[in-house]
Amino acid sequence: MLSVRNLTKQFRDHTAVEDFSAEVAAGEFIALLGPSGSGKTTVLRMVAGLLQPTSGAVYLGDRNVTKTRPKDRQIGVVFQSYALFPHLTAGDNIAFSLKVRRWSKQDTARRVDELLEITQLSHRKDYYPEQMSGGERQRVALARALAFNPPLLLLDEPLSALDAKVRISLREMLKDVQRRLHVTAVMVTHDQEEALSLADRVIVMQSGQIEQIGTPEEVYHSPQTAFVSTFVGVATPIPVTAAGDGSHDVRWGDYAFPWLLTIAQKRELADGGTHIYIRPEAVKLLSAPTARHEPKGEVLFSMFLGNAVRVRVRMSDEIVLTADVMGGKAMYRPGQSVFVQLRDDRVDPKDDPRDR
Amino acid sequence: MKGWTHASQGARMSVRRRFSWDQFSAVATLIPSLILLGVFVYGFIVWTGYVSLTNWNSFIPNFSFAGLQNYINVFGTFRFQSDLRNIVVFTALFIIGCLIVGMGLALLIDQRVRAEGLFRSIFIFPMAISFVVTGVIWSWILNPGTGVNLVLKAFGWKTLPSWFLSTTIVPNITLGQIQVGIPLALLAVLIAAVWQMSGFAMAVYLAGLRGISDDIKEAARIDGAGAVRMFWSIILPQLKSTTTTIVIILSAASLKVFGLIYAMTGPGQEFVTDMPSLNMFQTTFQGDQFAQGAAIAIVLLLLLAVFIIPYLISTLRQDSSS
Repeated sequence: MLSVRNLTKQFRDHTAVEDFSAEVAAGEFIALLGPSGSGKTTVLRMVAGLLQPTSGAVYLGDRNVTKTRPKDRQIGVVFQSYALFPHLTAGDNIAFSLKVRRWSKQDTARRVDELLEITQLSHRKDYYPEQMSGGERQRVALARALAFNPPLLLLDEPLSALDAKVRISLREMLKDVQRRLHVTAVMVTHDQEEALSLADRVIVMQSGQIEQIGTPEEVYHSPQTAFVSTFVGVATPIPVTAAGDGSHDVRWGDYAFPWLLTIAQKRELADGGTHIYIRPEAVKLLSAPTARHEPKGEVLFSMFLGNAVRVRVRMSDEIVLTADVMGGKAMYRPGQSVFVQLRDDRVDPKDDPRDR
Repeated sequence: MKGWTHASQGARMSVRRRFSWDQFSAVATLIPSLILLGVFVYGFIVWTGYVSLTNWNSFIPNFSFAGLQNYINVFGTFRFQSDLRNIVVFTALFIIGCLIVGMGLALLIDQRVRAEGLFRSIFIFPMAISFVVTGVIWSWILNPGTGVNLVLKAFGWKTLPSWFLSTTIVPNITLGQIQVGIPLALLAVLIAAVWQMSGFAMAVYLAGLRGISDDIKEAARIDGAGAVRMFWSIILPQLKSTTTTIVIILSAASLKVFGLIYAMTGPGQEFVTDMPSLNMFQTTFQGDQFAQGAAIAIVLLLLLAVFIIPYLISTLRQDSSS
């Protein structure tokens, strides 16, 4: 559906995007995830045709659209700032692209009503943007972007200007609308939760380059670079060596425990040692060690998160682990001694394609 | 709760206090300008209104009541009827000219040209020149015998325009004592006036254009709008309040126009370039028809009010809503 090949964008002396390639299948929802300045919006703007790449190409199906004007690419775009036309009502905003495309009056009216219904905005048809809330404006922007039935929808941080509650309800609507209309979507976001919850596949970017492309599960549980492991969710790197008993276990000090390693990590392990990234939910806190000799740590502080208690545990001068005790009521005292058990409750090893 | 009680007591105390240096100094600084405005603006408006209803039409003051006789006399003259035609034609064409030229320049400069500041200064600079100077310069340039006509002649033009000396009125419909239409001599004056004030329209439009976010323009491009559609459907509607502001300010400048006409053409043959302000000045101070001059002044004030009052109402409404 969309194929981006070796896209590079140079602004004077700085490279915003370098050699970016990705394939997007029809109906897929892709999230471009990265911190600000990672080049994700630049990629989106080049796909939309609002920016010319320095080199590389954009294909829509078999058509090379790199030099095609935005309006001839048949792409819908939702902007972070909504970018609604302030002098037009919600209905007229949605109808604008249809008028430009010379749809008949009846077809336009029918399509506008249909989109207002999908976005649950029928009662706001004659409102001006300034009379609507942020969430409503963004829904109008979504409806406007979808108006002329574009096969591809681009979303530039569509939810980040909204408050938390609206963001979550709009997130669900977005996913629902995207699925119902079978539109291919590419969304730029810096919010990892948004990316993981909405996307079929996530492209993690940093400094203009792709760090990893994968399903949300892969990106979260099997980060391929140190950046991904720390940017997507919370993770603490710890150094491990081979357990040396022929098993899949790794050893951290005296503590040997089973852990599924990537191929790269296995290679490094064979060379002496590697790092693994421990997520808060992989840590279990014990008051006394078992026969496996769990390492001892000291509680720095704990905080109540609602569904869990997050505890920061100092293991050594360099390593401070974060542990989420689910449903935990007991608050841990600073200075208290605990023993940490590490559990690999990520994907079932049988499901991990890289282990086959 | 306790803090709240304290705060409201404090507020009540300050209300009860009889004398505040803060308020006193605020009022004291306003008083001189209030007095000056009161006497020299509003006082004289009232005085002019009063004089226009008297028989003071000679060198010797005569305050006997004349009713609306001065107004009837004024409206009955060929000269004043010409003035009304001229001021309407001049104001309409002046505003349209400034809006079109100003918008054109603003759109060009908004393309992020090099040396943008230089061009902006060049276009806005005529505004700094006095209307009298503009009038003199353009009366030289458009002088039928020695000005731009020499250039046109060199290019082989046969019928050279007589510019501000023309007495032709197009389309020339007889109404009352005068011919209604566009006096061609006014077009020469309009060239000078538009040259002087379109830079102002450009500056205001440029600020308005910069206020339209790039996102909105990009959204319109994505939706398929070309340059022409973008201008008429997206940009121009968003500059509505900008346009209103320019129209109000230019119409005030236009209705009061005096120096430019006085220096460039004067009333002109058959009053083709005469204006109410010029008529008022000559009637009052050269003809000593003080009451009649006052009547012209009041008509001019009412004409201005037609433009200014809606503007004041809309600004007041905006202020109270925000």
